[in-house]
Amino acid sequence: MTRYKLAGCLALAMAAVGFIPAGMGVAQAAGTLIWGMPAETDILDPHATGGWSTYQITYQIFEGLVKEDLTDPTAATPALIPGLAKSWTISDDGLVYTFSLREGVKFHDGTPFDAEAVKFNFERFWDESSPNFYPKAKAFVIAYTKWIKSVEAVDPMTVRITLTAPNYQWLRQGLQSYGQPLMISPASVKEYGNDGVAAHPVGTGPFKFVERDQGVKTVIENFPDYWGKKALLDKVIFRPLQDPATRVNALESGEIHMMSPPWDEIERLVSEGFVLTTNENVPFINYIHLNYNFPPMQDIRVRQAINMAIDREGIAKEIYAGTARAEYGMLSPGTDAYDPNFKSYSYDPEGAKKLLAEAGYADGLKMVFEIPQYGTGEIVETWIQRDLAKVGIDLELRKYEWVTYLGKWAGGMTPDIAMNEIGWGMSTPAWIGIVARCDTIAPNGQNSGAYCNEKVDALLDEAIVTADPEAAAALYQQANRIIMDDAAFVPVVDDMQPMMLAPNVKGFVNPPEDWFDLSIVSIE
Amino acid sequence: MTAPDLHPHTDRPRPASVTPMSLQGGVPPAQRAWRLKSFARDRAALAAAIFLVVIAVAVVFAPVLSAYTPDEADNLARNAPMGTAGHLLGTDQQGRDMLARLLYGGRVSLIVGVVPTIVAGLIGLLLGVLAGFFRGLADQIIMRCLDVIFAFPMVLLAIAIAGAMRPGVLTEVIAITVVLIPYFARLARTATDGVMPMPFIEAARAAGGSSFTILTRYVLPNVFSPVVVYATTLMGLMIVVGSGLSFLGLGVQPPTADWGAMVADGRVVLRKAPHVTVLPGLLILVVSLAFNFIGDGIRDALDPRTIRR
Amino acid sequence: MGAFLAKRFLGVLPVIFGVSIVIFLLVQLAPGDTATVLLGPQATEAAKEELRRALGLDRPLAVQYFQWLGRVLTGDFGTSIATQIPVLDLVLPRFVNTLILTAASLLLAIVLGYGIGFFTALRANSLFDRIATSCMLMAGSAPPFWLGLVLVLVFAIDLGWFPVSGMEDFAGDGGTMDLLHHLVLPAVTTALGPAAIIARIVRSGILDVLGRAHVRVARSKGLQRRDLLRRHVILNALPPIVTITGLQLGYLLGGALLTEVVFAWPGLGSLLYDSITARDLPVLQAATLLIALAFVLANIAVDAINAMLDPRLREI
Repeated sequence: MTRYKLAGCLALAMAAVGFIPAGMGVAQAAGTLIWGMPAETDILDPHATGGWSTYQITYQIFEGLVKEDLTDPTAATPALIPGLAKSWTISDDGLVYTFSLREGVKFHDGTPFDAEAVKFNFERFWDESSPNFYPKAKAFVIAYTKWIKSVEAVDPMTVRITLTAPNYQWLRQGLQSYGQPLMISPASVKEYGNDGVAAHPVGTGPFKFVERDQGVKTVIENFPDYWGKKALLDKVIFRPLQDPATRVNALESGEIHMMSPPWDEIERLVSEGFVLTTNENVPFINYIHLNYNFPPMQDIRVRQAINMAIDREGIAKEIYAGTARAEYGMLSPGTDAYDPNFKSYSYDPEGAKKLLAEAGYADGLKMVFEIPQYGTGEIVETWIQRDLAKVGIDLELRKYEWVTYLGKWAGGMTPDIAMNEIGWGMSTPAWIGIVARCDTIAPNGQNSGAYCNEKVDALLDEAIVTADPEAAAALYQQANRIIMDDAAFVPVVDDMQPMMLAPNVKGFVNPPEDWFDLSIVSIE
Repeated sequence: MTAPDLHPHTDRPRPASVTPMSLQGGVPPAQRAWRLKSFARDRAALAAAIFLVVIAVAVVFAPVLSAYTPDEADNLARNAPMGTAGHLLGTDQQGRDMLARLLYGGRVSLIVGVVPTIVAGLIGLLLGVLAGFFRGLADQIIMRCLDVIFAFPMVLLAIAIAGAMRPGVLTEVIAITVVLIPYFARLARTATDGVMPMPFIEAARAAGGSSFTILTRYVLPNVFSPVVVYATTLMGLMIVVGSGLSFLGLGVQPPTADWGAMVADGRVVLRKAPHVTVLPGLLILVVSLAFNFIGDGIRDALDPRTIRR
Repeated sequence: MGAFLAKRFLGVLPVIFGVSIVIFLLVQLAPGDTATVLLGPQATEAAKEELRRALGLDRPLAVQYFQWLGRVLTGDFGTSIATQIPVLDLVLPRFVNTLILTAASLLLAIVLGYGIGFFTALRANSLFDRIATSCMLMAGSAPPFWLGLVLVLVFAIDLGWFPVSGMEDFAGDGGTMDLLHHLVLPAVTTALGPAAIIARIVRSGILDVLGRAHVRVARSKGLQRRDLLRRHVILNALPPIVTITGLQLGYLLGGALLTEVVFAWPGLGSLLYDSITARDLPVLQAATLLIALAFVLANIAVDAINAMLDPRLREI
């Protein structure tokens, strides 16, 4: 009996050895792009996830009524272009949006896209009274849905959406990370259930989902019946490779075609012929929330001192190897309101020390800094720790894995915590309100440090109903100035999204957004 | 160096082979002296012991030996190779002095190797002796519970426990202690079995000694020595297991260094600055090796069966 | 033999029951609120409360345990929190991959361990013996995750002989050779530690037998060296060796978990690591349970082989 068992095990192992590569081996089809990603993406359901790394996949599979044009690397902010709606009108009072839908569009499962499909999707992430409602989706698409008063299918190819109040950033707000109102095939949701979308994502995009082996790969392939310009690639394989050294080696050995490079390897890889692309307008700031509930932080001199103690230029140059820009304000890059020349507190450790002494902390100050755990080590955070040590602030780094961290960050800091950090942004200037308004103080929003200045809220309220983009931009810039005069945050650097490409990758555009349009890429 | 049957790397001890040792517990003092001499005759064990003392002293006096603190960084001298002026062993990805980090990091690594082994040794000793002395239901409950822990590969359970809790040195220590207890308990239980039929126990009972007296005066001292031997042989492995947990990010948190975490830090620059990965790993290897030599030496010295060549 | 196995399987049932309790309780150790993790940070307190009720998280722990056990027994481990994919679909293919790595490592450890142990014993105290013994000693004390990195540094990065990580080359054409190519470094990394111990035990086992009276008698009778080794030495030295090899299984499995992380080998170890990083507790539970079960079964197999070799053991 034992012998049989052993033999059985052995046979199993042998069969596995022979079978698996035969089954999973991927022939080098012309036009397969393999992307080495720094982390496994999460839920492939655009309504029910908030991670931008997941949108790097879902953007290829799903589309919304309106899209961002990600093919222009020089744009300051991605233009809004027709997606599944071929055109739309906005009523003069800014309340009623009427979308004319594109005809002849098919989901990957062959079912047609029409007003009923749009209605179904809105019911899923917005309408709590509908049987199709999915609470989890509502929790994620909330920034978009909280403005909606009603959704009607006027005729099979027309949808009318009425807002509760005018919002000139509303369309743009639907295209950010944190839940996107993209169109999922109603038939697929009915077949696999709301939770099943993640394993069976069916959209209308230029690529369709093939398979996913969590932690190993996610595969999408060319959708031949795409309504628009068809993708050039046959297939894209997303490979999560957490370890940066592994990614570098895989790129060099030709096992992957693109990746975000570890900063310390950029110079060498470029000298070997790999191609580095960056974009200055990516909506992504790495910044620190200062906690107003931490008593010493209520003194503006302490907040200013922290701002002055950190050598942003040094961090951008030495750690990011030039792929980041020192940031002094809280307006997201990649928006029409962003001003790259905005300055607030420059590096001045002596001045910081003096301010701390004036505030009564000449003998030093102890603080706790909550941070997420990074695969690459806490290299920026320990730099900040050392910079603050130089002015007499003893900073304790308290590290949490990402999911727990995100919960803590979104829940707001307790009074014993001095600061926490995050890196994000949006291609709408209204983002500044998400992190800095009185009514978005955590847990009601992402103002994790509980900063509140009524003047900022008033300016942002005015900006959102201002139809003229230039006038709106001026208002956003005023709010930014007040926030930094208050030294409410510590903006550190903007990440310029370095992507390292193999020389045979053609047509890749690094756009002012956190995800890419892979339909225009090809492999030589 | 010959007795093969109680190697630290075995996932389960083989208590049967330990029993003979415990049989000759409670020997006259003269014989103990012989053991010490015997240990000293084992040159490898002696050299290892001296080496470990040197490491321990170096680690304790890290501030004296290093011109740097482990967290201070030279932002302009990152990934400096070994032999760089001012940085004998180079710097890491953040420009921190490798020598300083190895010295300070050794404190954590040694603690994680030694403390859980001692704590688990004491708890396991107590559980094993109680089970072996009182038998019956207590014995059944204790040993069946331990069987459950035995059903996990040691490293898996340590990872799972540390992974479920918050990362930190205490988590690491607790995780390793928990997985080690059954090994010690089973050893102590078997050793107690060996002691119980001894004539001196019988004699003590006849003389009207209470359970407590017999337990503390006669049983414990005799079971103690195999547990000590086993603990020594396990410390080397526990340094490796502990550094593995740190390597996975379940142990010390930055900027604190320990050797396992340093290996993990070095991965990012494996190609550019291999010394950041290689040096701490080499230290783990050598220290673990030294503990193994000492463990072997002590066992040989205590075990009369050992034939010296 | 059948009775022996039946007894062992029966004896192991309460242990497996205990294992399930430990794994269930493990998750209770975890900080953080399941409802928050599932619904995301923007969820309202009411929604979380509703989810807790729906999941039975408001029930007593014991009730929760039996509900969980009932689901597990029907193969329902829930869905992954990180990706919303059914856990069983995730875990099973990974388990096969771990088996491949473990089987290859075990094979390698046995071949290396027995080979080196055997030859060093025959040439005890020679230069070859000393060098080989020291090398194995070092390999046995080296942390496996570090050894893996050093092997990568030398054989993958510097020499370029083997791939750095993974189980297949997505850009290549796959096939068994591709798998074997990817398998070499992880298998060597995992096998070296156990091989060192096996070599050491085999060496002293054979030396021990060589010193025994009957062997000396046989030798004095002028028996051929080969026959002597075959008939008297190997068989007599074998039973404890099999036991020790069996004992390496735990070490091997534990080592494989770390090796998988270093080499991004898509097995249960890297899944376990990912699930810890992502707080994906259902996956953590399933992976841990599966490895523990495999370990328990492997131990029974080892006992059975021992019992086959030494019938006296069957009576225990």
